[in-house]
Amino acid sequence: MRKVVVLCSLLICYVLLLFAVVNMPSMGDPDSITIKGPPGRGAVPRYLEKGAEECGGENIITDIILNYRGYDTNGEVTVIFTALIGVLAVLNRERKKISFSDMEQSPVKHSVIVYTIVRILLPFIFIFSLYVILFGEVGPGGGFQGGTIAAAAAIIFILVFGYSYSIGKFPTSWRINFEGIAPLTFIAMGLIGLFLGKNYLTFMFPQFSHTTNLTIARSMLMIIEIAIGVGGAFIFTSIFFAMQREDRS
Amino acid sequence: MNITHHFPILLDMVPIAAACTMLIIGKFRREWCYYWALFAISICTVMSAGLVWEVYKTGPISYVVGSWERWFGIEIYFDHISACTLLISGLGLLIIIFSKHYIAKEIDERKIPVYYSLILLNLAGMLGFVITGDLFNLFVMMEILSLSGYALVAIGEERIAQLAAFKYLVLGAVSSLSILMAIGFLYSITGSLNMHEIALYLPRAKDHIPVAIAAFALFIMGFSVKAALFPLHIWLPDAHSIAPSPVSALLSGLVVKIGICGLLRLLFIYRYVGGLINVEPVLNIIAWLAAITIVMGAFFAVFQDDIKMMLAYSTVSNIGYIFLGLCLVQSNALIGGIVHIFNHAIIKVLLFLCAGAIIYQTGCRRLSDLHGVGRKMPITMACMSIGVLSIVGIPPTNGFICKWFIAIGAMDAKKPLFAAALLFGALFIFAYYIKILNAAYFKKPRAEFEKRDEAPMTMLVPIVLLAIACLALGVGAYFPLAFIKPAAKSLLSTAIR
Amino acid sequence: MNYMQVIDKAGTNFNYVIAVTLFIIGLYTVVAKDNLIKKFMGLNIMETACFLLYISMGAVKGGKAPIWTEGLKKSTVFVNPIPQALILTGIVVAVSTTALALSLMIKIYEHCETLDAEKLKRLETE
Repeated sequence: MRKVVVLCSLLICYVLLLFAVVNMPSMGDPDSITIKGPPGRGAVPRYLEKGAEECGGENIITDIILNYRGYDTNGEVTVIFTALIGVLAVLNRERKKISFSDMEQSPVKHSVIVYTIVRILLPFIFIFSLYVILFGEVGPGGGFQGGTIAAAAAIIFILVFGYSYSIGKFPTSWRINFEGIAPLTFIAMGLIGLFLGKNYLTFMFPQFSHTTNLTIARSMLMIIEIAIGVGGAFIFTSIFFAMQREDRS
Repeated sequence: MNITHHFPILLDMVPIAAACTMLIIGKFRREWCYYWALFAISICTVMSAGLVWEVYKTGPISYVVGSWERWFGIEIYFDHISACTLLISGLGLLIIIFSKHYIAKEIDERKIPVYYSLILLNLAGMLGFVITGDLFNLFVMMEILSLSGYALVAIGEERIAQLAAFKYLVLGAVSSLSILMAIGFLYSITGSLNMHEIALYLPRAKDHIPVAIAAFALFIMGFSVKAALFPLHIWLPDAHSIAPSPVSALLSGLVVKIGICGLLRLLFIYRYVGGLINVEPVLNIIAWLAAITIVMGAFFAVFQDDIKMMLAYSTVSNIGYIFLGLCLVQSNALIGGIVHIFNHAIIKVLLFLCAGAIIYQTGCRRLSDLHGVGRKMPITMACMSIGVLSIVGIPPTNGFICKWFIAIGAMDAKKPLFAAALLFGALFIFAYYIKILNAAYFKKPRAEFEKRDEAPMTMLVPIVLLAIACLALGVGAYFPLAFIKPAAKSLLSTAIR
Repeated sequence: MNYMQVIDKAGTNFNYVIAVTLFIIGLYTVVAKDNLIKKFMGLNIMETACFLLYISMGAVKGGKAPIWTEGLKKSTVFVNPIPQALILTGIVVAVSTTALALSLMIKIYEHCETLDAEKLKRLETE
């Protein structure tokens, strides 16, 4: 009985949404209002024309997320920090020693192939993540993407080499200092704009010449990207450590 | 650099910066976390007071982040609805003051820096939500406050806390995704994410009107879950009664109002589309759901024995009042509804903090265990009595003003059934609050309640301040009304007809 | 609009139709399935549906990725960069919700030894 009610109400929602979707502007149409924008005030033509010279990056999307809509990215790094704090609120921070059963010290059974491949690949994965962070301005990539790759590398390390070994390599007291680095760097860079007379998160100032402005904008973008990458990597590693639980066998 | 010009953005960034450094401070000494949080929220209260005064004198403030323009940057728009920031930071300050002793006793001491960090993030999310003028920024701020809300409910150690938090999380996440989809629909037909621009260009999208209707429906569904309107209120009683008392005060008093502020912003966006969409039937349905919520919430509250469960159901009922006030498109009811947002926040925070003080001192939550507690904690029970009288709506407390306005509005709009629902709800509320007062004062006290043993000073001061505020706002109702009447009139003049 | 036009429009906007279908399938999974992890998978499906809707909005016929590489002329047609920027933020938000939900599930399993919603409801009322 309950299933029938649920299915009927979902069917009504589905019909309503289909009715809406069929009336949306055609997909792929280069003249639609999302691409062209309202006449004279279209955001997308403005970003595509003036993005490179106003923000200093050739990747327009990085320009948008760090410069034009930087406040949203500020909120996003706060969201991921909130997730970390939330996980710490539910599960306390990890302890120094967790006893696994004698059978296995690490979640992955010992295997020569896995150990060797992981040992060889890990440095390259870290270098790749650094490449993705630093080249976010001129190609696809960016701060958060690179940070996630670095965190994935750290998680492989923890899975393969065991909890006790890894907690020695990434000690908790050292990680606490770096978790909040992304929102704090954003706020610090944003406040620079306040001191130079314009609004928050401004990277181009009328006091300086155009080339100096470009240098300032590019370097601030780079600092923020590295901070987002490093902060994101530390946050994911900390979340993974906090989720380790004692073996109850 | 004129710092007052930058108050809108600093209002949001100060709590976030304080929350991010809270863990590092907690590493050194746990006691400093309380003072750091207090410092941050006091700065926010001062800034929001300054901003509200400025808006009252000169009108809405617009601040574009990054010194760009409104149509391609993110705008912060501080208007009359954003006067909620004063309410949010003021009540947040009192809740943090109250938490000093309560949290030290109630939760694991390793989690204390995490608790203060979550409270600051929640307040930052709420402040960001009410001041922003950009739709996607609204979504991001809503996620900050939702995630910290889920974590705050789950911070206790009992197993039922995690279950309540999970139910809250699933429902909250579904509503956030509905809102995200609705923002997508609105972007596809107007090409802009700024609320002013969307309001201007929505009437031009005449061929795509069904998309706007679907977006409206999805928005209402999303915000109704956040604001706990029947039948989407099922997450509220468990979550608000299981959480620690200052957290319950925060959630019941402020976070549910965010859903309503979201709906006000929605009406703001759709204000020029009145000729194309007929929203009368939708508002009618919501008004009926609100009336059901009023009666049902009050009805269930009568049969509860646990104080906090009773207060949680009473929140559900009062949210129904606010929705009823907003959906009868009539000036008196609208004023009553908006004033009730403020008054209910103050009253509910007062009641939950009193309940928290009682639980802290006696360790009992059930009414049947609390006979005669009025002798043990006279000041707390006196303030709770003032809160009780306010929520029933007896003059000269502030609860009377809003209920009176909503009832007059219902009669003026020729819908006497709604006024009857209001009366029933008030009668039920009266019944269960008489239960509380009876148990506290007139039943034979237990042995340990004979001695006077009041709550600590840091818990008493916020309670007494809030009780005084209830009486003051009831007697001197002119001041908030003078502020809210122009806002309500502007909302109504461009209202959807 | 008559039926032919509706089907024609649905064919052009095919990505949107799939996105909405996935949304409803995800919603069904959240409501109807009993296991907590399956409920959460439904939430993930709904999030993916939202992202699909946004990205498809930005598609342009014959458009290139919005990166000024070497040799691109001023008059090149680019795809819309705004939905992609919004989705980067959206994915982070989805991951944050996932992390919090998984940690809640770990705690629930530790306390109650079960992840079945019906059994948990009975345990709750005990």
